[in-house]
Amino acid sequence: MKYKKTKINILTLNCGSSSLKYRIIRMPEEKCLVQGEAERVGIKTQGDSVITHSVLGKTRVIKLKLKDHAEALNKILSLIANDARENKEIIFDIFAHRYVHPGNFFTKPVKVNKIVLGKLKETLSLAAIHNPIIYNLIEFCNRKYKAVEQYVVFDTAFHKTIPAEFSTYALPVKLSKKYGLKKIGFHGISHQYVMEEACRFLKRDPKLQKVISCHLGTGGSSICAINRGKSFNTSMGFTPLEGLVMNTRCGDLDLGVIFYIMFKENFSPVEAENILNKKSGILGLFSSSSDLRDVVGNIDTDQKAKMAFDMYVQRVKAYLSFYVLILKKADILIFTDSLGTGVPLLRQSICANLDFLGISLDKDKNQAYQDGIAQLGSAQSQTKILVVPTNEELMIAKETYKELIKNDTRN
Amino acid sequence: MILVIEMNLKDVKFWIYKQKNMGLSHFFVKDIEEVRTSKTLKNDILNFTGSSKIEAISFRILFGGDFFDKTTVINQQFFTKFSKLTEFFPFYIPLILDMLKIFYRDFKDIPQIAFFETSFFSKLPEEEKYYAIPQEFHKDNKIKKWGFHGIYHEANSGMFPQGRKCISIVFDKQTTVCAIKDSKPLMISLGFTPLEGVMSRTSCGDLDPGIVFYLVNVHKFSIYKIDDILKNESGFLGLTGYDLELNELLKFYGKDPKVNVAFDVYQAQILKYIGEGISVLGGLDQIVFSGSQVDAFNPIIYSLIKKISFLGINTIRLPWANDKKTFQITSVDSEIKVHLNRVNLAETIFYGTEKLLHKKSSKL
Amino acid sequence: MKDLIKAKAKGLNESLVKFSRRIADCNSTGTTSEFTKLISEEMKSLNFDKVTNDKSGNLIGVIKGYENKDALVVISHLDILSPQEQRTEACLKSGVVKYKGGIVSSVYSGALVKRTLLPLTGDLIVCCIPRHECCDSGIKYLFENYLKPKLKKIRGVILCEPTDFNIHLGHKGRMEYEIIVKGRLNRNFLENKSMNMLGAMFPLISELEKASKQLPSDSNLGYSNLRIKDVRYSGYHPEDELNEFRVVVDRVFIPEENLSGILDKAKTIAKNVYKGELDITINTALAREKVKTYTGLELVSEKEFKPWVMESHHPFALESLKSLVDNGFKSSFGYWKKIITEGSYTCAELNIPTIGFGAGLEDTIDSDTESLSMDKLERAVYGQALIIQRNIGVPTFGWSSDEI
Repeated sequence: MKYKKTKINILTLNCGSSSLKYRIIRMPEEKCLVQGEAERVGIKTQGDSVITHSVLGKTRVIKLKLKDHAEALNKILSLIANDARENKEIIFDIFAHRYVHPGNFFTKPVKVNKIVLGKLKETLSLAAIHNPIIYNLIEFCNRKYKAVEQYVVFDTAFHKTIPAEFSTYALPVKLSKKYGLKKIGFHGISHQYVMEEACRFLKRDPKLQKVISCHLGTGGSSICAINRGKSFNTSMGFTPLEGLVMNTRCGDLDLGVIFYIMFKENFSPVEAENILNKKSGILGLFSSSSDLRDVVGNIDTDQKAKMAFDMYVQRVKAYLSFYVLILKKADILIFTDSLGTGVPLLRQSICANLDFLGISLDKDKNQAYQDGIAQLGSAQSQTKILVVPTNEELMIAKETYKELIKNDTRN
Repeated sequence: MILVIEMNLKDVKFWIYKQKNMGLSHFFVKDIEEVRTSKTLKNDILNFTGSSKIEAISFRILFGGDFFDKTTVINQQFFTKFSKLTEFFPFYIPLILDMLKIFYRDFKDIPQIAFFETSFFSKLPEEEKYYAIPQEFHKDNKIKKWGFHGIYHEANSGMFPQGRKCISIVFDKQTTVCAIKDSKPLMISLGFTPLEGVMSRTSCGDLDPGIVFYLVNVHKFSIYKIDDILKNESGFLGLTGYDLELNELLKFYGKDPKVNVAFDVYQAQILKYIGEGISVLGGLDQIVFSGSQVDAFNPIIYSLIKKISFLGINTIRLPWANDKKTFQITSVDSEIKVHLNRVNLAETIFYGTEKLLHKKSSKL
Repeated sequence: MKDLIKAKAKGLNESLVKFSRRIADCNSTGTTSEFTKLISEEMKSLNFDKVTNDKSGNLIGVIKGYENKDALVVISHLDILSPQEQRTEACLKSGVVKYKGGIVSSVYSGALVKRTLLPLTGDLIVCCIPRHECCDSGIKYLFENYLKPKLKKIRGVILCEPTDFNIHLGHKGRMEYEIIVKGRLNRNFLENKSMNMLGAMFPLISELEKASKQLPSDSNLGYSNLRIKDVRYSGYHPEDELNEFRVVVDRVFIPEENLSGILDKAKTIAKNVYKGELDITINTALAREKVKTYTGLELVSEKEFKPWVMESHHPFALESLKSLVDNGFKSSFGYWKKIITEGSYTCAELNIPTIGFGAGLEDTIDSDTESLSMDKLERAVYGQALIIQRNIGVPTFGWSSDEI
């Protein structure tokens, strides 16, 4: 009964390919003590790395060189140790990591031990950019901070409930089984968080709601149909490449195109993957930036910007309408992450002409939105339209805490 | 008499129609090698048509690329243009070119007309036509959605007045979903190749492109092998393990769990495109089903409609009367009307040819 | 696509069987022109776009590409043997294999590709090369004349030789050289040895045999080899300055060795044997022979075939192997142990990517008892067509042959 009655501080670690977001969150009250982000980690060419570090609202910005995520974490931990000298509250009891792609090995948060590490190691190739970074960090913590327990929360776990008709690819069954090929889905932590927040905001029971969550970010974008609290379908697939148009990813694409380009241009598979992952999407269409906000700024003057915007919007609309069909109308539509919360024109364009499906946005409310959770649907909209800022770190802490309590009572 | 010819990789199908709606007079199939090497092709065909004059010969052609955005009369220039499409459909174009030249040589004095399955889609809106890949590939390689089943979809689009928001679905060897308004396509499921869109008997339909790279980069598959698996070993065959035609397989729907999964996935893929169609149309007034499998697929059509009936569709229960060529399967009070169009491909081409001949003669 | 190739291959089987019989019946010691006439007529009847021959007697059949990019050269050889070389064992020892299966599979794989109408990005050039024992004049002539303008476009060469359906990537080199010892041996040397010419050669022969036990090896190709093929001498008395003797050495060697190194080493060995002898000159030289082709061309040929090894990760090798494995062949990479091929010229001299593919094993192939069964030949034709298609075919990604 270690944790049940006491408060516990969880240090959440959320790795991107070149960033590390972290928070110390006190559970169960969900109070954020420390929050920060290390940016440009391990990138050689673009100047120094930056750590933005806030303790109970006070923010510092530190410029330095960080050659990898482990070095970043080391620095962050020494910052926290300094803070702890001034304020005894600033401590942490547990590490909690977000892990991107555990294949079919894990469908719920786990405590790290040797077996778990062994299994995670087998998944490295599934997300060749993200998994190794996170894995190395977990191993690093395991080596350097033996006394601190570590938990891993999976971005894919939320999607384990997607029914077979939506998660199955029409591939030979033998092949799918051998390589675990099915819709895994990503951004699960975020989709689950905004869904729960939206229901809390509307004072509705998630178990009775049909929700569509659009996680539209400057990194990846995905959309998720949530039926009665459970993920029902999502646009990303076995990898994050499927689905919506993203900043540099193509999203859905005729596979014949891949083969054709590889043959015509004599690209190696690695080169072709690089093009579709890093040079396509918004960047491929607009060419001067991969950020949709830059596209929006040029939309009236630049034909390429208009094309990029239209394609991005149309792909979201297509999935959104598909999910309305399979949910037989949605009760709540949520926009989240940087583009979902920060670009009013995007929400307006996505919702345009969808009255037929019960979705109708209030233009004025939409324009006036500043921050926090807000309801933007028009009076006649059958579907509630909400903007909910995402907070993956809090969700990681919540999921970890749930698991802690479970383990605790079991002991 | 109008002769309609469909050439496939193995055989050639001939339909001979009497004009002015007198109907089909003959139908026969010949091995393609036999036709290619035959020295008596003309006489063989004239044996069927007898003394009546052949007004036109019309061909169904699967692919027309950028050159053929409408039905085209075959002449010398036609062959030059057509041969340039080789790289897009390498084992079809050279063979068909060869065959068309044989007919052109043997029936010099008869107008010959090419109907393309892709022409209809030359009018697709830009954002539907292209992929979110670096722009240079669109220009250099002509990578875009070519679409498919244009002959059917175009015929279906003609069934309704302008302004109606229509989704047209064709069940053939491939299944395609097309959104149409004002006789123009706004969305089509099949893309640059038949790998995109809805799964077929042996092809996978929409798939995460990341899977290709996972198999190639991590498990060292060759792209040729993957291509082979995706188009020849996947789809219904891959999911069920049963090497059956879809109408046969459908008999096991509801009885065999593997078949159930396959048809569920199939319907989910179709629903995705119906959803996409609704999003580009901004609503829905009509759904039309057509294609060679439309009769066999009545249960699938019913099941699909049931899934989206909340949009305001009242279907008549199965079985549906099947004596008429086109009929409505929704009740009068249904907000969205659903039709079956049972006119087959050869007939569609026949009607198209008659129309064209009529236009020509009125010009004279 | 494989279905299409398979289906069209079936259509060719009957004429393939007929052609194989006719070619087996044709005696290779007879006039070669008869042989080439048979092949060229077959190519014409199989609708090759162009059939021609050059002055050296090479026969060339072309399947035109729909573009003019990468060309692929398929090479088979036909052996021209003098009557005394008819014994199979002797042939194998000298690296010659009388492999008619290669001719059949080269001609018919070309015909098969043509028959499918599958477009090629460049020309497919099928060459049948008459080969005199240990003479690569034919292949040289081909590349210096007919193929010269196309050289830059050649993506690769496929040698139709026995590989048991594997892809072979090379073999050891083979050369014949002479050590010529000329002049007068003095009494000191001769005192301990026999007095005649032959006796004077023994120390050299024995040193060469010692050296043959210390030759280097290659991880893929195996050991080098040295064999004394012949000894010749003139006169009787080694002390007579007009006399000379020659040791003829048959040397099998690997890529890390080279011609001048081998000759230098031989010279050093000889010099060591006869050191202290003042009136003596020692020379080493590559053996040469004069060749007259059936077309009347006279050429001098050096008896050297270079060793060659293709990198197994070269795209040409890799794609070729994958084209087979992807379609049900249980192939792997391999190397010839005994025979020598035109790869000594195309790969070692010209640096053109070269692979070998064919039915049958190199040890057991023998034209006197045609051991290749027809279905093996058919399989070789199918495999060869797959390799051709993979390398210079326009791929049909996404479109299945089950018409849509």
